[in-house]
Amino acid sequence: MVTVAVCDDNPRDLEAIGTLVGEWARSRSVEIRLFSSAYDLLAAAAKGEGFDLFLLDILMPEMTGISLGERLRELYAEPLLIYLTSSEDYYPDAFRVYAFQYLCKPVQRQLLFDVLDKGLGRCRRRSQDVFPVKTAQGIVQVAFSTLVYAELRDHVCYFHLADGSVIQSRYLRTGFDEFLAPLLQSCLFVKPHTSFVVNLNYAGKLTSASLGLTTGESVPVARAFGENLRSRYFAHALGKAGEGEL
Amino acid sequence: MSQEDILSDLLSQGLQGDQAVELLLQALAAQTKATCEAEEKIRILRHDMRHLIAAVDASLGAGAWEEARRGLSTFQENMEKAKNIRYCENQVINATLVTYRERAEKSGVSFEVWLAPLPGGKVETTAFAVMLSNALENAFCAVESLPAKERTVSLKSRIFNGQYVLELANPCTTPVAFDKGGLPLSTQGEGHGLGTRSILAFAQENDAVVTFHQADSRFVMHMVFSLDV
Repeated sequence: MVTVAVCDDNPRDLEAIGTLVGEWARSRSVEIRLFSSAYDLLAAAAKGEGFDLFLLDILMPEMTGISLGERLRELYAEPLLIYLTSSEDYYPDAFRVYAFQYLCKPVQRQLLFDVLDKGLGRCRRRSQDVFPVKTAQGIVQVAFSTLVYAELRDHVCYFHLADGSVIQSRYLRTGFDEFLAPLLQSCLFVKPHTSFVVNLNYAGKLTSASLGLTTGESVPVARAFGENLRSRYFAHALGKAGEGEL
Repeated sequence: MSQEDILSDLLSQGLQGDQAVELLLQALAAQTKATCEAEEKIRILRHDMRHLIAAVDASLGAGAWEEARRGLSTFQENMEKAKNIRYCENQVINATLVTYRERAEKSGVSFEVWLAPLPGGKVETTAFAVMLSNALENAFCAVESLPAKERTVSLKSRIFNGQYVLELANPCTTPVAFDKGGLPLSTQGEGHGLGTRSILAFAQENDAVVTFHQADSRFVMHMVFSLDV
């Protein structure tokens, strides 16, 4: 289930937004958590509560919504941040933390619902993206979000996951590209080499010969794939690959 | 960092002869001028505010809504004029951008900037500003001769997984020739322009990957370098 965290220090605003978001959430199986303090929200996030969408006020006494967004970015890979504030002055700062949307109070009910729907769509797409891998032990569902890279060796595909584990496919009877077609159709994955497919969310240092990964590993970059890799890398890193962000 | 520190920093790098240094010094002067002008406007605004509020109050008391609205609108306009756009904390980088913003205003170029702050440490900020001014110079030269509505320069950067990723783009319909290494050939003569060479020198110094390409009637420079020390 998708969970939305709402944080606003003003009790009246928190109640009003909570009611509105609650109305939106009822028909969509979405859970809501309300926080009147940025620290309470951070504490819950640090404990491992799985929030998917954040609806944040900006002008709060103990910590601005922008600083809160920065902290959340350290705790979650790609948090969807929606700012709901009375000031337009923080728009550039919201851009800096890659906010999903920036809305000014008082917000129109329908506008808020539209933005929340787009955010929800993004969350659901993320959770639905899985790749079923036939292994010797049966079918294993690999979530796109946890797959760092896939490597082909001797007609076997090795899926390297973010937690360090490796899932080994059965002997492939099709080509590597055909086998990984669902991955390659996603804007997240790119081939830096004939035998590698990489998740761009884990891309780190790029050189002409290799692509470093946030896990500390690196994959080779073949000359024939370099141009496409660089183009996809820049598009992804600069945020063009997504949709809906500021 | 004071301007004296920046100057001594520039001089210590032995860049006196470089055109870009001159540009940066101009940029610092422009920034100082802009700050002074904004401060002066705020001073006047503060002085005028009491009178303006009294006038709006009187208009409201007399039911002259239109008059009151005009008063508020004047106040809003003055506030807007007093704004001093600050792109980033670093003075040299900010001054470089302010210089090009002023040039953009004069030459009717729409200059869009979304710059992620460059963390100190790994990359020398002054060298980054010199690289940036060279790249912007190339982009501005390319668009200033275009029809008014096509004159846009867009600068965007983001920190992504510990990498500083930058994109500078401008419209370009004239085919650009590239050499075998993917570098744009200067139209001024053989070899590459000074600006591009300076950008490449920065890239080499900072182990950056830089690419230039033309697609969809746009010329785009991309650069990425690691921020890991």
